Amino acid sequence: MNLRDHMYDATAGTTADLERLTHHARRRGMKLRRYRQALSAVGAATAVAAAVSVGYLATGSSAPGTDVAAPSANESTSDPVMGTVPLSGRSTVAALQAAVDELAQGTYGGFAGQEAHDTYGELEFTPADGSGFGVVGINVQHGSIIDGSPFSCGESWMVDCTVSTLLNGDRIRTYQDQPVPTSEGDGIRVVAELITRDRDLRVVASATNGFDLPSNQWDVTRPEPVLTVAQLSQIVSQPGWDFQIPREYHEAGDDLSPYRDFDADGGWSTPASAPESE
Amino acid sequence: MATTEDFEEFVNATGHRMLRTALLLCGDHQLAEDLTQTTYAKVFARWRLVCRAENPVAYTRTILARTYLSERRLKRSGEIPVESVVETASDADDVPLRMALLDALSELSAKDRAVLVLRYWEDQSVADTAAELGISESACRTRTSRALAKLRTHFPDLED
Repeated sequence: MNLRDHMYDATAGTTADLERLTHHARRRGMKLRRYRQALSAVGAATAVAAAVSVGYLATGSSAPGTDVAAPSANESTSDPVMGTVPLSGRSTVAALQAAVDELAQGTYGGFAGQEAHDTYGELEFTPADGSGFGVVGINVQHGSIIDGSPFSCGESWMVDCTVSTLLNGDRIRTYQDQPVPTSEGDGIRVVAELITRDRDLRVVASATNGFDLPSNQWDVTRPEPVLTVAQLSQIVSQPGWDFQIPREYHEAGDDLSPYRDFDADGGWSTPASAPESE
Repeated sequence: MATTEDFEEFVNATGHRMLRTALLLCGDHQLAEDLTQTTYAKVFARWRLVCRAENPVAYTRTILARTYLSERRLKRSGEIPVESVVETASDADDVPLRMALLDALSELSAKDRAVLVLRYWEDQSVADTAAELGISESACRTRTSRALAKLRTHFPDLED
């Protein structure tokens, strides 16, 4: 008799009370979720309070963004269950999808990304209200790309720009690109950009109200971008962004379909699922 | 979209098997139920990611094995050996054999037991077992060999 047969016999007739198991797992799982959210909230509240007391560095036209979240000092970026793996284009998209999923209800498609020294990922997001769709993108880059200069709002293409400093020294800049007029309305892209010296990291998230097509053309599908500046700020300030990422995102990235590899395609000229004819 | 209904379906499809795995690890039905429940609670807490994983069952099994090992580490200092194992959910005919195997497994270290359960019960390769437990492949082979030798003191006719 082999060991597997022994094990089969030793556990034969062992059955789980599935209803009870599901009930208790959900109850305890909800507690775990609330605990994690509470840790994040404590970190965010502390950082916002500190930012208010220190004073914003805003040089743009808008009021300071008091809804800017900050990474929680209590929350680890590593995953003790599954371990971490190097960030890829696919896992960047998977992590972005998970981050959007925490903030808004909707459906996803048009997954695309790129990986080299830094990574980029994007997806098409259709909010649950059905009012059109847009592209949400994220860059994860080494902070040294900024080359030591602080954020400012002095660029001519920035609208409604704000810069804020969080308790841990991280900075977040938010702005909107100059709108592009079209017959269906303005093409709009909003951006939140985080720079953190401690982790040598720059994270840039953006959201649009349609497709940004070549030659400064837009396919506008809704009046406003699919995510707000505040939501993008929450995304970039999540503590999980790193060049090592929990393995679960790697696996989720492998499952993304259809996925377009910008490196393989050699460029950015056409959106992942742009209409074939216009 | 990850829904609560999806999670319930997942538990219904995998719960019995996961409990049997937990029983082989813990050797005690109550402890196995606790371990299984803790595992699914962790799965529920991150369900949106788990359900998109390439293999949600493997992911869950990894949580089960690692939770078992981490809880064993926490309890080790104050642990009192169980002298008799009470089975409450059995209708198997050969109770002495069941007790013998669970007792024999209980003499192994937690990690050796996990190696055997993953390799022989879950049919995992050396590489996958090593990855799930966070050990090297050579350590996995060594532990397998050592654990099997120990089991053969109770089951001399045990085949590979």
